[in-house]
Amino acid sequence: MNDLGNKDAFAPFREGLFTAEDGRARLIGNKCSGCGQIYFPARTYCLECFDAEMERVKIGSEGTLYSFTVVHMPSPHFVPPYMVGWIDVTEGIRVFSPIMINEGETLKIGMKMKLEIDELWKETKKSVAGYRYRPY
Amino acid sequence: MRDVVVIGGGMTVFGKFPERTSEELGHEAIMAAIKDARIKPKNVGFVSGGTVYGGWCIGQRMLKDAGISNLEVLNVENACATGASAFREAWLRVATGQCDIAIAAGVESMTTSPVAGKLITPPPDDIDGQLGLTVPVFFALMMRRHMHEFGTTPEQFAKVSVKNHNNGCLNPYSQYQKNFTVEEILQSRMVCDPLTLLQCCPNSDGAAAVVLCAKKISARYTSTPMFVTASVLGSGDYLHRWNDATFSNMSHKAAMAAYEMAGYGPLDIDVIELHDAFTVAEIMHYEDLGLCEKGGGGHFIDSGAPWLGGSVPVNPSGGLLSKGHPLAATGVAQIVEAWKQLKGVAGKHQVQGARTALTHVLGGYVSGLESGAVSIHIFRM
Repeated sequence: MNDLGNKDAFAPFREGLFTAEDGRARLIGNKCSGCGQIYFPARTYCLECFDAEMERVKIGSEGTLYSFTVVHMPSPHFVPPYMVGWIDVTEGIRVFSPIMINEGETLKIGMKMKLEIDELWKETKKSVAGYRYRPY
Repeated sequence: MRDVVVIGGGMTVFGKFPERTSEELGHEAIMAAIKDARIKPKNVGFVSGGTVYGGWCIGQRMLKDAGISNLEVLNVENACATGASAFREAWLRVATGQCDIAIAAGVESMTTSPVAGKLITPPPDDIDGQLGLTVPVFFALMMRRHMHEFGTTPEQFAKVSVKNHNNGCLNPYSQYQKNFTVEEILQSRMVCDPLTLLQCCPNSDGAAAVVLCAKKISARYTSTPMFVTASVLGSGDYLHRWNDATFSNMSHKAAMAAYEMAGYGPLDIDVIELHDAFTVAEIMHYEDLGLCEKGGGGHFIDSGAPWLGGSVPVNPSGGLLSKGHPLAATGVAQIVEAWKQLKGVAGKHQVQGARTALTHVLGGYVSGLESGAVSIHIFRM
């Protein structure tokens, strides 16, 4: 995993969405103290309870692959072909994410996936960091 | 609420016409509808205009040379559900007695729009969009899951495109007039695995318009009025409540409400025009509209039922896949198709003896929601 300390060279594509503290990649969402519904990205209000307090939670370090696709269309950030998918994380929500596989690997629905933080794309002068999942 | 009937409809050919403006296309459709309905411009009490990319006051602009002015005009946008939303608005005005005759018109000139020749990209604040989610990706994810859960095959998905292109060849208004085999559909350029190019609807230009009338005065215009027996519009629920990506909850809810309103269900519908933006969409809608059991969409197309000549022809016009998809025109064009089918004037793609029809549109990618809007109408002759 890259060193995320140097802010100028390696910036997250969005602040406050993910963290790699203690060497463990996690997504930052929130959870309703009333009904327990988890949201990622974090929501201002619980969409079920509306009034209840929300608490910040770190989630998504592991999940199961719900679906995936290999994209052959051009994209602002990714060079085709690239993989994306829906991962059902252990905490119970579904997350859309880029996916990376190891050499020789094939994706299969139901695979266990692990979150990682890494450079996702480059912009002039800087590396843009984000999250993605990889089978393990 | 009063009984409302359709007394006329018209549309332009769908295709790529960058030299024609939205106003021109809309005007052509409106004039065709007025002529078909045998009304005079001064009879019209309300017009709803629909466009997604065509700019403000599209209704007024389409009407400029139609001899219709100085009346209530409302313009409507609901992404791919715009046309049906415009129709619903016109239906409500007549049903509640505000006026006796109304026009709903939808137009899209995609070739002169900001998305001409490009992919519709998500807004920059859309996190999933930044990470590679686009509309075709969304559908490819649903497609792969459907294959995983139900064993639906690539060939079954491809057959939707074969069917709709076959039908398009029989429809002079269709953008594409070419037959394809299952192999050709599957071998076309891969967009997002397993969705190939010929399984995606094209960018299109076109317009369609419908004339609605209070039943009680319709006899002076037509002896074959088409009754509006259900009109439903819904919006998508939050994504965190949508657990099953193989099933369109919002289409299902709208369909159940429509059948309730009409007083009859899917087995009583003779012809359907639904939102086949991608082949997987049509397969899923066979299920969520209640034409077959959950997961049975692949078997359904194999059975022959939704083909012309089958028990419930789906998209006899060629659908979005072949006829084309000028966003705001589509919902109205489906209703024009229903009108022709129930009148028995659909020509080579006529569904014999059709007496009831259902139209369905769904669309509008909104981050965090299942989708933007869904609209279903049911008609009977």
